[in-house]
Amino acid sequence: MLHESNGDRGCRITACCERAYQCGVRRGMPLAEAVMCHENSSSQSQQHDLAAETSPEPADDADDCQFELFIAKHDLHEDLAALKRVACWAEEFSPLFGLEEATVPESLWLDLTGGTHLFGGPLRCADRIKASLRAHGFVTEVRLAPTFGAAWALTHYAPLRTSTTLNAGASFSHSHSPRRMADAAPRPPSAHPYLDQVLPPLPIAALRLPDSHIELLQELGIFTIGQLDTLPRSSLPSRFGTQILLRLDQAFGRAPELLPRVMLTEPVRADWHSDFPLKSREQLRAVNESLVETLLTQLRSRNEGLRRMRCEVLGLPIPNGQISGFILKHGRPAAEITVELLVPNSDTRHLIELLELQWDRTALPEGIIRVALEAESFGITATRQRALFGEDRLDELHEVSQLINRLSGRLGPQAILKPHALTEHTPERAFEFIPWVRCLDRSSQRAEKATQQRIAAAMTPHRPHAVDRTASHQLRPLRLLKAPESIEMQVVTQEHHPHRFRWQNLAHFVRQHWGPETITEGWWRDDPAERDYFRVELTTGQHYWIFRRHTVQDWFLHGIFE
Amino acid sequence: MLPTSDIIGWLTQSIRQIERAHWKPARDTTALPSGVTALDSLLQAGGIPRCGLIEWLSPSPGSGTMTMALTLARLMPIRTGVWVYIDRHGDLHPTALRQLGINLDRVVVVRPPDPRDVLWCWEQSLRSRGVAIVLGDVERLPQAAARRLQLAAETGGTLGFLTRPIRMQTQPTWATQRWIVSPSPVTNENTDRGWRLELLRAKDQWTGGVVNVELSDDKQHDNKSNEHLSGVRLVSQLADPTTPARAA
Repeated sequence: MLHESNGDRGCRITACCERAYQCGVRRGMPLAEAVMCHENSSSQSQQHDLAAETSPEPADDADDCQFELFIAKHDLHEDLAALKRVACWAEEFSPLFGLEEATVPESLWLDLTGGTHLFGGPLRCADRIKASLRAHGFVTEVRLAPTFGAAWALTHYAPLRTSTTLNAGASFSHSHSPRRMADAAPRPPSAHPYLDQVLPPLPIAALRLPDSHIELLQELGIFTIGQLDTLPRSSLPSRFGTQILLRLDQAFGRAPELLPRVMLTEPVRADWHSDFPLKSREQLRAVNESLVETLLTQLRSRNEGLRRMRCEVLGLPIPNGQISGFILKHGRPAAEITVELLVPNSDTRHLIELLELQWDRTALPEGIIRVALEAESFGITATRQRALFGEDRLDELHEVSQLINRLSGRLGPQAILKPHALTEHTPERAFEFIPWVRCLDRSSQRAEKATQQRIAAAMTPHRPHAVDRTASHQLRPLRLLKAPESIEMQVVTQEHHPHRFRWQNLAHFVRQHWGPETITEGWWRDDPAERDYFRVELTTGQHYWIFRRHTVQDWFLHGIFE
Repeated sequence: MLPTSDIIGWLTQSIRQIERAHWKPARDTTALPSGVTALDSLLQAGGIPRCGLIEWLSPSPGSGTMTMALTLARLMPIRTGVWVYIDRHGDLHPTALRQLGINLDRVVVVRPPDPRDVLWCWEQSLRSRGVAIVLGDVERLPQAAARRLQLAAETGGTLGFLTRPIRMQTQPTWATQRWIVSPSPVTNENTDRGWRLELLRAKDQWTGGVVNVELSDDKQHDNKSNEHLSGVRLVSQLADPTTPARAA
């Protein structure tokens, strides 16, 4: 099982499971090579012992794919979200937990100080953490150390199963706070004698330094932390900046390190249940209204609005023997809808309208006894300020987002699209459509404010912008057929230009034509485009866009100048 | 005995008063100059109305009716907002929109999966005040629905350009204006398309007329006052050839 990512140089492996590792798959390997590794080794299937992974990447369902290759694109956001979920789950062991500070965090830190006796000592505690993570399908390396830096170094670079007994477990911060670096002692003592024992033999990469620093140090012949620590402290910052000393001190517990804590977000939800089932849609509407109001009061106090909301209803249990067309949840018929909005909104009436729009087209189970609303995504609402003179732009933005919410709500997000031009020459690949409600998701990692600005930018006063005027023969048709339709070219001119063709059982005579415009692109694909395009004017006045394939010399109608 | 023109004028005014008594348009209904002089002079109001439905009847697919409507909309000083394109066939080609000089960032393409939703989309979009113009191809338009659309357009103050097949000519219309757009052969080297526009009906107006327009390449006459309109534009053939700048 492999994860892949799209870099500049094609697909590279970013993570793999143990079995793949055994086959010879490594990080950074091209995908094709990794597939070959798998093929080579699967012929000689051997049973391997489980070797531990160095990174706690989720290795989902490693046991399910015995010898089957599972390749998926590495989804950074999903990965991070999963890690955060694991972090939250780790609250069981310690109230203080966080992710490492890195562009792609992979490690989890727990501060176990003072709490390990509840689990029978630090070692037992670490074992338990490891065991329960394994039960969830994660392959992890858990180490205990007096500082976060040392714990990180041990999990990533310590040789496995060393003779030392203290090497299970996540970080446990030392009980007495690390000393401050006030006086200019040449090498301050470390916070814990254990650190002096385990850290020096580790490679310098274990200090969480940038690659450039590591390379430079290795060129200078410094490979281990111990070597680095013996260097004069005053000379290091001038060459490498202050980071190197800071990391060194953090590992040894001489400098404090803050734990970047994962914030738990409380789910925003509202529930309604009753022993007496709802009988009509009007009653459901009334329930919905009160639920939406409850949900919004929770959000309004934070000046936030809903982005995405899930609504679920549960019906009465069905008596045995009856067939129902509903999905079953807890043995009961259930229905579920999701309302997606363009920008966060906290307008009760609008949200109820959107809910209604969808409930109207959804089959409801009979006798609803439970309705649950959950805000899946929310953000800061745009402040609406009354303009003193005339209409302001935010008002217009508000109107547009309401329209898009309504349309997407009823027709589905896939029906309300935003065209986007791509840099391709093949006509059918030169554009893409993104659902409007999702087109802002791409920037959802940034602040909501940027989102607002983007829509506001789309609202700038109408001004026909100058187009790079295309030549007459390069005009594109307004309607591009989903698939080119084959036409029978009956007569061509001496230059092999179209003259008379049959389409849909009708003969069409070409009065004049523009072209050919040759488009050849995509030789690396299975179906490269090699076409000569003509815009033809028929004697009846219509303009069509037809092309001839280079390879087979047959003709197709591709577009209509509507 | 009054002259006929006075009687007609008086009657028109009365009709307008009766209509106003029943509903008051929420928005300014004055006309916008379309930029094509011959077309504007054909209309008593002096241009395309600021809001309402305009029907463009097309003799056959491929005659370029929507291209004409889009170009006209782009040249008109319509209000700020998104452009909604109700793409009934699901084969709109954005590259062509871009070539016509339309900013894709403000285009909302609606592709109703169910044909029964098409008119609902029209009504919702026309009613919204954040929309500048709604465009699309509509075939069947029942009387009640047509009236609803026209009212929605007036409530929202939105302009709606519908292209419809020519056989719908026999059906009565509630639209503010109805035109027949028939393609005329391209004769000029600098011209991309040509059309003959025939005004069939316009509100508050009893006279029709014909105007020929061309979609022409602007490189020939580069006028400083119109630099932001460079690119495509509509040139009416009836306009004085010596002053092409006024035509766009």
